[in-house]
Amino acid sequence: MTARVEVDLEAFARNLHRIRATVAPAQHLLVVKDDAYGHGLPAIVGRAVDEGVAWFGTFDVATAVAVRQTGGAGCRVLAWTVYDEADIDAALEADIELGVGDATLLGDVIERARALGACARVHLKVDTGLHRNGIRPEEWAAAVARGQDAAAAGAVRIEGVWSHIAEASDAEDDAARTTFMSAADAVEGPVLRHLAASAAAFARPEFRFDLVRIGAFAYGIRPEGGPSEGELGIEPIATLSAEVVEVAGGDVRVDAGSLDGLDSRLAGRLQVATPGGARRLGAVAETSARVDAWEDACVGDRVDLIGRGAPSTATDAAEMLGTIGEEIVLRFSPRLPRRYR
Amino acid sequence: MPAPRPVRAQISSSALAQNARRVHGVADVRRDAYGHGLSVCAPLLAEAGLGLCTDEHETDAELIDAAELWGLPAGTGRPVMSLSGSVLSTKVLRAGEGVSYGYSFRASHDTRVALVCGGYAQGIVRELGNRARVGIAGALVPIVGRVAMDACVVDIGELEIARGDEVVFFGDPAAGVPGLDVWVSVTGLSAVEIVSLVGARAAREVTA
Repeated sequence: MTARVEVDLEAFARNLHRIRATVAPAQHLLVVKDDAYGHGLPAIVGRAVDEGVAWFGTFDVATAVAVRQTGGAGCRVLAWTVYDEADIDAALEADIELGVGDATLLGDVIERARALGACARVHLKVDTGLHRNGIRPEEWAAAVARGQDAAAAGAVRIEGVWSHIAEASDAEDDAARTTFMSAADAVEGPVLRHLAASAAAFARPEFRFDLVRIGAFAYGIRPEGGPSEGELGIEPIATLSAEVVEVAGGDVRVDAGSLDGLDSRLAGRLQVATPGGARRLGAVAETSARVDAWEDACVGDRVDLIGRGAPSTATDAAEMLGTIGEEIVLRFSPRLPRRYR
Repeated sequence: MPAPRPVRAQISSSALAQNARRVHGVADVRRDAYGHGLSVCAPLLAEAGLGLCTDEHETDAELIDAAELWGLPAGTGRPVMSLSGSVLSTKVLRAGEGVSYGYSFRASHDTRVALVCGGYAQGIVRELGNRARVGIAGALVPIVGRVAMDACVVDIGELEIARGDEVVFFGDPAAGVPGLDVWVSVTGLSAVEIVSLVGARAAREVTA
């Protein structure tokens, strides 16, 4: 099997510097959930620490603990989902900050911290309209009071207030921002405020506050239907590639198929990079795919299918399918080796 | 009250054994048995007398139809894989309020929604938002709004649902849960590429 995901860590470092320069004086929290968007957590976290990234964000506590192990004691790590009591214990043990957007969970965290004689570091999340994770504004004052009582008793420390915007329209995002600022003002003492992810952090300076949570742009994934990578100053960092395993008449067979994460719906639509120039992707089978042949094609030639080395970035491919670049990249099979340079 | 758990793909050993007894020849178990787990599936298939086509030892022999072996929509076998998540939190959703990115869903009346772990990173295809249902507390309820990377939102209406409750994304329709057929028709993906990614990213557990 020759299919692999190549990750250019130099390009990743350039993206990190571009993000830092754009969002300053806000800090960049690098989102590394789902094995750093499938790029491989240890290599991504290691390089990010070397480049001066001080904050990391994950969905679950297990990934946050892995970040702590790779990134060392110097970085701050925020996880925004808690499954069970063992997660709370692990977060307290590894100094993981918890994003808490549910009153029941806030109670669980306080109770567990008290039982262990520890102090949980929490970022309270207000629901500003997305209606996923987050405490509704009408329930916010009660949650803050509960958090501040626990803080006075030493069981928690309210490190931050955060939310997540829907990006449905600028007007609705503006309303969400107003709700967010009121919620942050309701907390006594200094707290870090964070609201924006990639797109808003670049396009709307007033959404940056103290910290911006950016994953996609760090991996060079631009928004669908939005500005180009060049306009944003970012570069794709990953390439899905495979070798030719058979040359047969008008086409060649490459060693990556739909089970490897090459989306079968791209058959006949995608152009790929071959030693003979760009060629059309033909039928996509389970473990291999057809590509239109080129002169002197031979077994062992490498073909770049999607991403940095290919004619189509992940977002280009996503736009052919009506989805987003993140989903294309996360389809690259976790079973494929990641190669770094 | 049970605590929520991360997304998990259950592999039914009895369904696989039953499917295997109905076919003859060589089973294609490349790519970690199409995401079902080679270490679990290979012994069961060998016990049923089937040959194996693996990544290391590919064969030119005709391969058993994957839909029959794994119980996928185009076949007649029992579904081997099912996928579950858990309710992380519940909340009120008022008439007119939107859900998730772009507010592709807006509530037509006051209701309740549940945040469920499981998103497109776990193979719950992004297009399923507003177009597929999940099994919860014996009922089928719709995914509302866009599926996010690690979570989605379902409209639970009047159901008594709490943090920790199980949510079935797909499984055996004979058990009253959604089948994979809707996922295939909504997305245009093949069933094998859906289960392959789901099995690779979710925590896998073997059930009877």
